[in-house]
Amino acid sequence: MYPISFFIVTTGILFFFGLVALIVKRDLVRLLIGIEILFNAANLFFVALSTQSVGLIDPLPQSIVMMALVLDGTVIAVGLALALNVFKHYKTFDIRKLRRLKW
Amino acid sequence: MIEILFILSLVIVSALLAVTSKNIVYAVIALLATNVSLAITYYMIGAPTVALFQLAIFAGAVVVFFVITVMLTTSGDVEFDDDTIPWINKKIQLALAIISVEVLLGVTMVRDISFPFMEYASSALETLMITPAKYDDITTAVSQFLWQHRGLDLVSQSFVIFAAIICCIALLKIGRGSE
Repeated sequence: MYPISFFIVTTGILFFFGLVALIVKRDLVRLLIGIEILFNAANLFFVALSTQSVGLIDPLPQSIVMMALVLDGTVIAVGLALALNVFKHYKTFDIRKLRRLKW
Repeated sequence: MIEILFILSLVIVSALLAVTSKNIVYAVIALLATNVSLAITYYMIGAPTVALFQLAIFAGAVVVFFVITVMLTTSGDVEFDDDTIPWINKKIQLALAIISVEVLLGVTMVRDISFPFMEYASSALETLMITPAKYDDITTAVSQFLWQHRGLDLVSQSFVIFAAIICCIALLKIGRGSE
């Protein structure tokens, strides 16, 4: 059993990186990378909390995180299909230009 | 103790690289490094099944999707003229990585903080717990738990994946038809 404070700090930093990528970046693919880092932070914290009882492991968070991993994969896949579609229409990934090209 | 710190700092540094690198191919490779080191972390803290899923889906399929998108759109060549974070250069990147890893290392000094609310939350679920004698036992127990207590979720998950596949096909067909 490892101390929980390591994982709290790591997930905090990962969450911060993901949020910064979502706020600051303009590339659609980079936004999806930020979303994936957010997913990773949430999953890591969930699994780390499940292993905190001494000598025991809780299977419920592990099974929930397994389902969450699969669904995160589908979310990223649909997002990348959207991004490909956007690129075919407008020839750009820049979300600020896309906002002007709304109609 | 030192090995988990090493792997967690690897996670942090590669996530920073994935967010801040200019070339998007490098960003995707750093994301792959993040996912693989997270899978190693899961294995070390006693969740080998989650590590398997992390390797198969996040380090395998999702990274392949990213690489295919970058290849099809040649967005690796696209450089935005006015970058929105011009103050991020190599030095700032290095400084951010060092600060994050040092925060993680500094926590080793104060790791004796107790979290009473977490003790409460874990003690409420005592009957579901399994003893991690061997990693094989964990895998078997988690699979059993998944099918016995979360079977409906598992089946409905396949419908969600099916809907996502149809959604992807429809989106890519729209793109092809309009050319």
